[in-house]
Amino acid sequence: MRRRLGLGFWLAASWIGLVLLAALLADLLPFPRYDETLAGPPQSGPSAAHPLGTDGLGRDVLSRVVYGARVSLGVGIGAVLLGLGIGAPLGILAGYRRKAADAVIMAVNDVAQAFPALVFALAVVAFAGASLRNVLIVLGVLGVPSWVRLIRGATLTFAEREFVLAARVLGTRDRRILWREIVPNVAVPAASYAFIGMAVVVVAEGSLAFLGLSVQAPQPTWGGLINEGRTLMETAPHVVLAPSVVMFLTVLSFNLVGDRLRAMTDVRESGLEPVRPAAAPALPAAPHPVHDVLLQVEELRTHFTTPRGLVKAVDGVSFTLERGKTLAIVGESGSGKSMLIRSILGLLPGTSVRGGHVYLSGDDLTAYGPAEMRSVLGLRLGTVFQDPMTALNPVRTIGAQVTEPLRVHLRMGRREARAEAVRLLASVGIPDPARMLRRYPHQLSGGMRQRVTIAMALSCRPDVLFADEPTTALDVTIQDQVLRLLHRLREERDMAVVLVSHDLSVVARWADEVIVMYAGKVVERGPAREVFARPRMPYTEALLQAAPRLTDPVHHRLRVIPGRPPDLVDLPPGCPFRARCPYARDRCATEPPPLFEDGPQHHQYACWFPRDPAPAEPGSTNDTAHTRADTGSTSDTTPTRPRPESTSGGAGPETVTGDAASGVESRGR
Amino acid sequence: MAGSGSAHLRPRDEVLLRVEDLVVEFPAGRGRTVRAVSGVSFDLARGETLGIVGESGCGKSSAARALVQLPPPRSGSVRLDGLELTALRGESLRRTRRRLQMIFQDPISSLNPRRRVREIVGEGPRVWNLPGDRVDEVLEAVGLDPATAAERRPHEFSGGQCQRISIARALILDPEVVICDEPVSALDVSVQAQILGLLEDLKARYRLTLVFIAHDLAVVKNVSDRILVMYLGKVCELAPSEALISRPAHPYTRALIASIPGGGLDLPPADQLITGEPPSPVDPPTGCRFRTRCPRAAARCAAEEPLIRQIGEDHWLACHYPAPPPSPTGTSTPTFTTTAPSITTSTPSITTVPASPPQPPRITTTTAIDVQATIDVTANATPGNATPGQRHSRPTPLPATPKPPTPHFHRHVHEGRRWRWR
Repeated sequence: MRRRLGLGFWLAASWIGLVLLAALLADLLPFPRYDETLAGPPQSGPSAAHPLGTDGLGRDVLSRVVYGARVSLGVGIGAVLLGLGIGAPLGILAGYRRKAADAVIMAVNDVAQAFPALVFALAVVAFAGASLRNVLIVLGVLGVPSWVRLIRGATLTFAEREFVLAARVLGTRDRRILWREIVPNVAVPAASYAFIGMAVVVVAEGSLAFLGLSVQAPQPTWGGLINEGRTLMETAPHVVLAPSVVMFLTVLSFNLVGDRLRAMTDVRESGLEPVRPAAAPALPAAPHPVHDVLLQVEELRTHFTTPRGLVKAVDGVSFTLERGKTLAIVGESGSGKSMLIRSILGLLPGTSVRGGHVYLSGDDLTAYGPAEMRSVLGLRLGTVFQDPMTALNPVRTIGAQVTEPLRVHLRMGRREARAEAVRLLASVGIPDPARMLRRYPHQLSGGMRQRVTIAMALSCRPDVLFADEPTTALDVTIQDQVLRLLHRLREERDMAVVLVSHDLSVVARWADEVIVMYAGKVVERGPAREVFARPRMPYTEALLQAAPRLTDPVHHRLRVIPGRPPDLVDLPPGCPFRARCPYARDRCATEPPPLFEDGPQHHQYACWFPRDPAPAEPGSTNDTAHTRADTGSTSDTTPTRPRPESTSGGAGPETVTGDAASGVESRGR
Repeated sequence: MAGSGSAHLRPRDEVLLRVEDLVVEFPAGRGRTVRAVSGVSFDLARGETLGIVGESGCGKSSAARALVQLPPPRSGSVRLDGLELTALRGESLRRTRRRLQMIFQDPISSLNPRRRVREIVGEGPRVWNLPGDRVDEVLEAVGLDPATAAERRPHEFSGGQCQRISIARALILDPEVVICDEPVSALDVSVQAQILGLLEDLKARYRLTLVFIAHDLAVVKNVSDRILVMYLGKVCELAPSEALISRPAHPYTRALIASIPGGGLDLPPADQLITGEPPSPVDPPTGCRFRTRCPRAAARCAAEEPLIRQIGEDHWLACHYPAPPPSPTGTSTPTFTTTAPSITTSTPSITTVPASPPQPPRITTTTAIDVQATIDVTANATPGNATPGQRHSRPTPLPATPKPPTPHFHRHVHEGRRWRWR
């Protein structure tokens, strides 16, 4: 919430404060009164006695500008307050009560807004007389419709929030709900609009004054001063320049302050951008062999610089993936699982630094520039994201969106692309695909939309499909359909799938291999069946026991993992799960565990004191007997597992891979 | 899922909350309305947890909001300890609010970002002019440290902690019934377990009665004594949790269970139990609303809406052709092909009867009732016994295996526009 406002904001606010203060204290300031003629030589330039010079009658320009601020700012503030005073109650009433009140208020408002404002102001002032009061009232009233609209909109967004419903459930009366729940929330956007409104009014008042329809001489106003100075432009340009510059700066400052206030209330998410080409070669990777596999990720790191410090969102992740396999990445929110996918694809916000390597069939993607990356994304790497509605363009037909990659990447003709799109949609189980091409995303159900995004991801026959929580937004029965579909397509197309999910049961059913992430690091990895049947890392074990299962008895007490995931900005040394781990000992606080490996299945885990594997079969109790020297895969540097029994003092830490040990913190977003 | 009827309601003096024939409608634009909840009945005994499960659009959240009369239902009855809430307006309705509290899905959006935790939790007592000294107590009860938490604002807390604050806000008024609308759906697994455990603790400590709404059957089963399955605004099945999971009878319940990986039951794969997409709630199917996705659907399902009937100990079902109980030994193969009702026998009546508008058969005659149920109802149709609203004498549990329907007469039949069976 506390966001930096920036230097510009403070400069602008100071300027407004200065002008306001000067206007208020004008009578006390040591310069001649605004109407004192021949205070100095007429039309003289800036001097020590008259910092802004004098005008044609020898009046002090600074004094006139400062007194003019009284009128300009006075009208600005007064008109905004008047507009707010009338508009806010009407807007809140319309937004909160809805129904008839809303209809009437908004109908009248629309009519009012259709009036040509400045013409109306001119007419009223011309008839009623040009005085400060009249100008203020006219400009204030003219602002009312905008205020009603703004306040109503803001009220609407909050009136439908659940905290307002909660207040009603508590039995709170409407008036209290308005004052306590809605007004404080509407106040921020209103304040921001007030500043922008003041800028508008100051300009409007200036225009009226320039036309001689504001406060009458001799009382100065900025617009009037500009008008007077006009005739002297050639001999004494400072007379017109001084009020112009002051007015310009003031209007600019109002706008700037208003904009910054509004930005403060906006939550803006950073979009996906291609990663900046080697922003800094900051994160070198150790030498490593490149394997003959479809996808190899080697010591991948993604770090962010945030105002609070360095966040290691992905911290040294390695894996390999072959054709026809599904790799699942599981973890809780903030574990870095989605960021890992974005890092692999090179789709990261500009504030990030990426290290490590990603090899696709032996080609290092991290060495690719944006143009080369574009030729890989979509063509060889397909993506499906959680929310199909945001992945589809709402104003383009399904047909236009599905055929686009076909035409751009595969250079198909219009007719050919259409035929292929129909085939694609049919292959993801969409009934009547030819008709579907003419529809818009909002006309489809969530499950159908996700099928369309899958069809788009598959259109160029990618080698690897990345699916980031592809079913989280869908209903259970639809989830099953979509996962089945992904599985079937994987088989048919002999591609690899990287499935990111928080749902362990989904992963257990559809993945061949699983990676469990915690605080940006891999904490356990192995064949899915093995990891879920015999978790070694206490976190995986706890996660499995915390998830309710249908087979549990009713009112079964789930395992509770105390605390919450660590703050990635300031991760203490040692194991990141230590604080929540019931088995943690001294060593966990000081040394980060590397990835150990044991068993014939390359089951890896990052834990000094792993859970004993459940005795699988009485015969093969040699399970604990350390590593089988690994052939293949990434385990060349993997240390052997220490014996938990013997490690009270800390045996065998020399086996730790240097790289993993040094960079042990974690990640965050 | 199409069930209507209130045969499953228990006697009024046994229940704390009784909801009967609840109907909730929303305008859907162009003068049309959506029936989000369409004749749903259920009840809660004191101290019980009723789970309501269903997919998005099944009306479970609309039903929850109708319970607290925000907005009031279109029709139907909500009785809290005998007090008819739907008849109350204004101040008299407000006075009942203390007794019925609610917890929402989105922990962030359900807390006002501009207020401090102490104000948020203390709002209830302030509204009711109660001493505000219980704030610390309830904050501790939900596992927050009052000293550090009370003066902070919601954005300084994680999702799980915000949900604890919401729970504290509801608890401080000592409500009798707490309606939890997807309280853990937005939370991570580890935090979800914390909140579920907390709800169980608080239920015991404050003797709460809970309505627990969620889309996740495993979560619902974990906390609920009984589970109500909803589909498209109707009741499908109601049973004690264990029975519902181990002996699901409704095709939709079975599909829900089969869709959960590792469900444990020996059910056919989900794609054999459910097909296609949910129909639009603006234009729901005639008869049984699940029939467009049901592999067991027959002509009769389009023609008449199944009424809720009893099939076991406190096990209630709204389906014409329920599935046989899954065999625990795993020997059963998908059975619907063998037991599929022969539809040919009942088609003649469909062709002969003129189309009538979709019309949920509103009880009492034998028209809209399963063959088996017909026998029961006629047997019980002595005056007084079949009076709507009164408890039926419990019929003998029916054999769950459907028998092929014998030819019988349909009074309400609709044009066969939307039928489909396989």
